[in-house]
Amino acid sequence: MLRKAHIALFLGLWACSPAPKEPTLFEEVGEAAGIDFANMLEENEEQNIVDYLYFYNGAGVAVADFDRNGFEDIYFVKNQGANALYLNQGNWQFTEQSTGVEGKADFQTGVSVVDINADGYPDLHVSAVEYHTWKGHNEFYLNNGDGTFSEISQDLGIDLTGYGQQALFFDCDNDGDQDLYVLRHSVHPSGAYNKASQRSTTDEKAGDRFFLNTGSPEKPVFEDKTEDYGVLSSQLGYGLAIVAEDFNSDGYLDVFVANDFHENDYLYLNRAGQGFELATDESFQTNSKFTMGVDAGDINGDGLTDLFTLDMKPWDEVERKNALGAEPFHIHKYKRSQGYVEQFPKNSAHLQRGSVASSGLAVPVFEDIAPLLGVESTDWSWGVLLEDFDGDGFKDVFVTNGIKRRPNDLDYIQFLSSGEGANKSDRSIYEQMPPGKVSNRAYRGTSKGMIETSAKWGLDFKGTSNGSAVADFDNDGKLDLVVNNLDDKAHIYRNVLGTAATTVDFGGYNVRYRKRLGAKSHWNLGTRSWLSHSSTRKNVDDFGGGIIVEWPNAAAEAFMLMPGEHNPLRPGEGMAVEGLEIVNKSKLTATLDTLPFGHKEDAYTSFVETPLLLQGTDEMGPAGAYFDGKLFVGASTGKAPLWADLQTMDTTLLWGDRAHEDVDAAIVTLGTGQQALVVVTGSSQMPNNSIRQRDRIYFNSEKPSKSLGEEGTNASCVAVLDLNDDGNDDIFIGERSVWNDYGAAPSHAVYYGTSDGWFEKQEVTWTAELGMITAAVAEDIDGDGEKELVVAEDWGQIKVIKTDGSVKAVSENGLWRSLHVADLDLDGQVEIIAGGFGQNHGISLSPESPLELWITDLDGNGNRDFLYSYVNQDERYPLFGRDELIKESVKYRKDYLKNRTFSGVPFEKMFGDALAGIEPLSVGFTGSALLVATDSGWTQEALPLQAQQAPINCAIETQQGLLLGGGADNLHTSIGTQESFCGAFLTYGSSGPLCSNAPFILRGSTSKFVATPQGLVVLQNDGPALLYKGDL
Amino acid sequence: MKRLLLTLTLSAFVATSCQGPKEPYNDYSRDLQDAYQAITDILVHDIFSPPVAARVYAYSGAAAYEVVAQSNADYRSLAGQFHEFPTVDPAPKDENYVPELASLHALGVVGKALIFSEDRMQAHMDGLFEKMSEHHSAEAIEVSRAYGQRVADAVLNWAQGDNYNQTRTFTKYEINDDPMRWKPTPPDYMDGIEPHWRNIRTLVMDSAQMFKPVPPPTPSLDTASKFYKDLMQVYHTVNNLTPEQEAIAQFWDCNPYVSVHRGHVMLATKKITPGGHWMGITGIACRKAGADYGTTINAHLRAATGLFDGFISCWDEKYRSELVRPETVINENFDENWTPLLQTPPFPEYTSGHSVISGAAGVMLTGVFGENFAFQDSTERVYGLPDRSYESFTAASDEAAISRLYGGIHYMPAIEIGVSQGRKLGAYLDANLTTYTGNE
Repeated sequence: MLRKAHIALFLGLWACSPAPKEPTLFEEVGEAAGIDFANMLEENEEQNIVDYLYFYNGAGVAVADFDRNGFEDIYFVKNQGANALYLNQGNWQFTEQSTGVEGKADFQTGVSVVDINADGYPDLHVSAVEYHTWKGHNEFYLNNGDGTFSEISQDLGIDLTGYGQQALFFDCDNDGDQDLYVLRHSVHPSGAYNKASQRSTTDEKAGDRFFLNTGSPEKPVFEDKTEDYGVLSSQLGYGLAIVAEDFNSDGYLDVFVANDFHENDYLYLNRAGQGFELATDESFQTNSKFTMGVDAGDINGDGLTDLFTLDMKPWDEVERKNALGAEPFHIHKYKRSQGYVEQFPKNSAHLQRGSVASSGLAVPVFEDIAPLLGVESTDWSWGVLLEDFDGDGFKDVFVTNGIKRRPNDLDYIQFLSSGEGANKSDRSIYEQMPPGKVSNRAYRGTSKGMIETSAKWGLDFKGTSNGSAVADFDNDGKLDLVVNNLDDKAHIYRNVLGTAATTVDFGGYNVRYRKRLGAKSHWNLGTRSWLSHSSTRKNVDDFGGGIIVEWPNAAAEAFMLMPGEHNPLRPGEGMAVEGLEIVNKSKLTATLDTLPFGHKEDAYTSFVETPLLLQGTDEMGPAGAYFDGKLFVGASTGKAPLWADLQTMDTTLLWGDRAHEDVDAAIVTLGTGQQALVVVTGSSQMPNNSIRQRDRIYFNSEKPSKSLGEEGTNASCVAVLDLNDDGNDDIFIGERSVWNDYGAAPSHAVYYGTSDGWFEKQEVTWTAELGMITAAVAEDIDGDGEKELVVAEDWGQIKVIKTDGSVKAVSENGLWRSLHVADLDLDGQVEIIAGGFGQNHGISLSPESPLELWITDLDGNGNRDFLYSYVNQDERYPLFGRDELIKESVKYRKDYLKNRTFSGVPFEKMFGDALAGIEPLSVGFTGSALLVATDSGWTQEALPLQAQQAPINCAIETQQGLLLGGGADNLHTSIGTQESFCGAFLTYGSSGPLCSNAPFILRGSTSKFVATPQGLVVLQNDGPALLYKGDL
Repeated sequence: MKRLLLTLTLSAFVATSCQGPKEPYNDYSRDLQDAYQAITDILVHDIFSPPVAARVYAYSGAAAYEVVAQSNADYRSLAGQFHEFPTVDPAPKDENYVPELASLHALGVVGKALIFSEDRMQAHMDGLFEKMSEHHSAEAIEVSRAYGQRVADAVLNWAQGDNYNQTRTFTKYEINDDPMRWKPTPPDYMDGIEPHWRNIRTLVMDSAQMFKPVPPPTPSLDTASKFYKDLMQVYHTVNNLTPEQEAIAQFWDCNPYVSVHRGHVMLATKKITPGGHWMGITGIACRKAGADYGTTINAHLRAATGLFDGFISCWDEKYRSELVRPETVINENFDENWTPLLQTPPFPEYTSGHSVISGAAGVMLTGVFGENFAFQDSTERVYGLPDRSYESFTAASDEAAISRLYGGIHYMPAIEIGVSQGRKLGAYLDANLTTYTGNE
C-alpha cells in the first residue's frame, strides 16, 4: 500500500512538473496502448559490427489487420529473439498474441505482408541472416484465419538461407497472383572495389532472387526465374531496401532496389511481365551512394511517381565534420570509371520528369532535387515514408535515424582504431566507436519546398530508430506511425492534429484499383521504408467519384466512397463492372536526334591544381555557332573543332586548331562588311601567353583560322558590339579566371574593329572594374537604340557597360554563369535572365548569412589558399572539413591533428587573426534570377524552383517560352554532379516567372543552344550534339 | 672509434659538485635513442608518410649533431656539407655547459616543431629533463638548453627553405586512362603521395636526378616481354609463398597506414615507416657497439641523411616513370580478386622506396660500424613479429629489398635497380659527408 502511494505521488509530481507543451501533430502513445516491445541488441566478441557489417541496422515492423477485426495490427521483428504480434482491439488498446510467429532464426531483419492464398487474411514473410554461427532461413507464416499461423516457407520453396533483407511480393505479370523478389544484402568487404562487371556473377548467399508465381491466387507455386528475368544476383548487390511502383505508367510494376556502398541502385523496368530491364544508367544521373531506405510517391503532385532514397550525411555541424565525407574529385572519377554511375553520400529526392523511349520501353527520367528541397542530409538514416501526414495536400517526409556506434568517424578510423599491436579483439574495436544517437527528422511539404518540422510534429525522438510504417490505427482517416527502435521501446505515434482524408482498405486482399475504366491502375503495396511493411489502406482523396477494385481471381467491382472517412471495401459488396480493359499508357517525351558529332572533354581537371573550387574552371565548352551555312562546334584541348553540314551531316575536322579549348563564338561584321566568326578559347590548364590560349577568327568555313593576337585569354565568352562608336563591330572577350590563380582579377580583352577588316587590341579602363567573367551579351538594355555590354561575374554581379565606359551593377552578388536578354513579361521592355549556379548544392546560405570565400596565402608558401565559411545552426563555420584545410595549409594539421579538435570550432575563432584586413568574396544567393529594370533601378527576382535545380548555362527563345539548358559535373564532390537537370521552359505568369517541363528531356551538361534552319541544335559538354526538328 | 666526450662530462660533474651531491651521469646515448624512439612513436601516431618522416629524422638529427660538432673538435660542422646549412653560433664557453643536454634539447625542439602531436613530444622531453635535474644543476640545464635552442632555431630556419611548404599545394597526381600508368589502389584508392618530393632540397646529393636509374622495362602484356615475366613472377611468388618469405615480407612491411576494411568498419593499422625501421636498427647497433653519445648521434645523422636523400632520389624516379603497381595490372587482366600479401602503398612502383633507402642506409651504417657488423633486429617486436638476425647491414638491406617481391607490391627491377640506386647514393654520401674526424 505504502509503495503504491509512493508511486502515485511520484507520478503526480512528474505529471505536474513539465511546462505545458505546444500540441504536436503526433503523440507517442506506445506504452499507454499496451505495447512494450523493444529490439534490444546483444553485442559481444562473437556477434558485433566488426564481424557483421549490418549488425546495427535494426529490424522491421509490419502493419495489417491480421485478425480482420477492422483495426490494423502491428508485427515487430527483433534482430535476436522473439518477434511480437500486437492485435489492435480498437480505442488505442493492443494485446500481444505472438505465439507461433516469434520467428526461429538467430538473426532476423525485414518483414513483409502478403495474402498469399487470397483468403483475405494477411500472411507474413520474415527475412533471416545465416552467417557465422547464426542459423536460420527466411520464414513464411500463413495466417490460418483462426488466430494461428503455420510456417510454410519450405513448402513454398522460399526458405532461403544467406543474407536475407526483405521480401517484396507483387504481381509482376498481372496474372492476379503474387510473385516474389527476395532482397538480400552482401557481406563482401566494401574495400575491395571490384569492377562493376562482377555484378553478373551469381552469389548463392548474397544475390537477390526472383520467383515467378506459376500457380494461382489461391495456390501459389514459386519458380526461380532470377536469371531468365534479368535480375542481378551478385555479391556486389548490397541490397538494403526495395519498393515497387509503376514508374513509367505502362501498367506493369517496376522494382527499385537501394544498394549500399559503391554499387548502383537498381531500377528494374518491367517488360510486360516477361522480364526486367535495368534502367539505372538512363533514369538517373546521380544516386545516393550508401543508399539505405527508400520510398516511392508523388512528391510534387504532377502525377508522376518520384523516389526518395536515404544516405548518411549529417546535418549537425560537429557530426558532419567528424564523418567521412565525399572523396576527392579525381579519385571519385576514377572509381566511377570502374563501371558505376555517379553516386554521392547524401539523400536523393528523385523527381520524375517523364519518360523517354528506349529499346521499346518507356524509361522514366529523374532529377535529383534533395538539396534544393533541403532534405539531402538527415544523418545516419534508415527508413523513409512519403505521405501527407498533416492532410494539407502536400507530401511530407518522415525519416528514422541513428546508429548505435558510428564506424565512419574520422578520428575513430585514423586514431582510435589503431592502437599499436596486432590482433585486437572485436570488442576493443567496436567499443572505441563513438555513439551515434540522432533525432528522427520530419519535413513538411509546401509549394516552395520542404520545411524541417521534427519537433513541431513530435517526431524528434533522439535514439536509434530503424523500421517504420504508416497506418491508421483508429480508422479516423489520419495517418499514424509506428517505429521499431534499437535498444529502446518501439514507438506508436498517434496523429492528433492532422486533417482526415478519404481512405479505403481492401480487407487484406492484394488488389489493383483505379479511378475509372481505362485509367491507370495502382497496387495496394506496403513494402516500403526500411525492412518494413506499411498499411495497404490507401488515401484516395483524388478519386472523388469512387473507385474500381480488381479482386484476386474475381470480378472487378465499383465502389462509391464516403468522403473524409475510412471506407472498408470487401469482395461482393460493390457493383460488378464489365470489360476489364486497362489503358495504361506511358507519356513519352519528344525525342532529340543524336548527331554524329559532338564534344569530348579532355582528361584535365582543375581540381588537381585547385582542389577547393566549388566548380572547376575547365569543362567550359564547347563553343557553337551557325555561320556560313554550317554549324561550328568547338573542341576541347587536343581534339579537332569542326564544321558540320546539317543537311548531309558531313563534317570537316579542323585538326590545325586542335590545341585550343573553344568555349564561345560570335559572328562579327568586319570593317570590310564581310562577316566572320570569332572563336574564343579558355583553359585553366595553361597561361595566356601559351599559343594554345589564342583566340581566333574564321572568315568562312573553308579557310583556316587566323589568330586574333599573340596574347590569348583564359576566355569564357565573347560579345560583339560597336564599343568606340566608329561604326565597326568591336570584340569583347571576358576572362574566366587567371591561370593558376583563381580569385585574382582577370584582364579581359577588347579589340576594336578596323576599317580594313581586322582588329586591334585596345586597352580600356573599364575592364578593371570587372571580376571573373563567365558570360557576356551585347543588347540594348535601356531602349536607347544603342547596344550595351552585359557581363556576368562568378562570385560577383551582373554588370552593364555602356559605350561611354560607365559600369553599372544590376544584380546582387551571385555565382552567375549565363545571360539572356528578352522581353519575358511582354511589357515592351527587356529583362535580363541571369543564369546562376542554382540552389541544388546543399550549402546553407541566405542574404543574411552568405557563403564566403577567402583566398589568401595562409602559410606564406607563395600559393593562395582557399577558405570557405558558411552558417550552419546559427554559427559561421568553415565549409569544408579538417582534411581539406590541411591540404590547403599543412600548418593547421598541428592545430587540428584530430577532427574532434576541429569540428564545431567557429570560423572566426579558427582564422579570425589570419584573415584580418582581407575582404572575402561573398554570395547570399547562388540561383538564377530575373532582373527587371524599374523606375527606381533594377530589381532581382529568383526564378522558380524548377530552374534552380542546376547551373543554368544557356537559354533560347521559343514560341512556348524561354528554353533553359544547364547542368555541370565538374563540381566539388561535396556538391556532387548536377547533370540530372532535364531542361525547362520559363514563362511569365500573373504572379511572376513560371517554369514548366520542356517537351524533350535534356541530360548532362547542356552548354549552348544554336538555332539553325534544320532545327534547334543542343551542344553538350562532353556529349554528342543533339538536334530537335520539332516546333518550339 | 668509440669515444667519450670526456672533458665535457667532467665539466658537468664539476658544475654539479658545487651545488651538493649530484650523481655523476653518463647515459646520454640511451637518452638520445629514447628521444628518437619517442619521435618514431609520434610519427606513427600522427600518420607521417615515409618521405616526410625521413625529413623529421634528418632535421632533428642535424640539430642534435651540430651541437656536438660545435662542442667537440672531433666532429665537423654540417655547414658547407648540407646544402645551405647555416653557420651556427659556437658553443658557450660556460663551465656549466653540458653539450649532451644541449644536443638532446635541440633534438626535442626540432622534433616537436616538425611532428604534430606536440604535447607528446613535450611530455617526453619534460620527463627527460626532470631526470636530468637530478644530475645537473639548474644553471647547467639552463645554459645548455639555451644553446640547444639556438642551434635548433637555426636548423628550423634552414628547414623553412627546403621547399616543403611550397610543395604542399602543388598539383595533385592526375589520373588518366593509360592502363600502365600508376593509379590509386585498393582498398582506399588514396591519392599519390608526395608527387613533388623531387623539389625538396637535397642534403648532400647535387640534385634529385644525380642517381637516376635506368628506366623500368616497358610495360606490356606480351607474354614474351620482360615486363610480363616480371609481373608473372610477382603473381606466382605471392601465390606460392613459403613461410619464410611471408615472414620476411611482414617484417619489412613498414607501411605507416594500412587501411583495413572489415565490412562497414574501417580500421587503420599503423606501423613505422621504412626509415623508422632503419632508425631502429641504428639504435640497436649503437647499443651493441656500446656507442658513446657522439657516435650515437653521428650514426643516427648519417643513417637519416641516407634516408632523406634516398627518398628524394627514389621519388624523383617514381613520378618520372609513374609505373603501374602489380595489383592494378593483375586485377585488370588476370585475377579480379587478387590482393598482394602487403597492402600496396599509395605511390608509383618504380623504384622500390624500401630498396633505395635500405641500400643507402645500409652503406651509411657500414661506414660507422664496419663491415660484417652482425645484429639482431628487434624493431618489429612491438607489432608482434619475432626478431630477425643479420650478418651485416648489407644483408639486412638485401632482405628489405626482396621483401617487396614477397609482399606482392614490386616487380624485381624496382628491387634490384632500387637497391643499387640506394647503394650508389650511399657511397656518394659516405664519401662526401664528413662528420667524425677523430681518427684522422
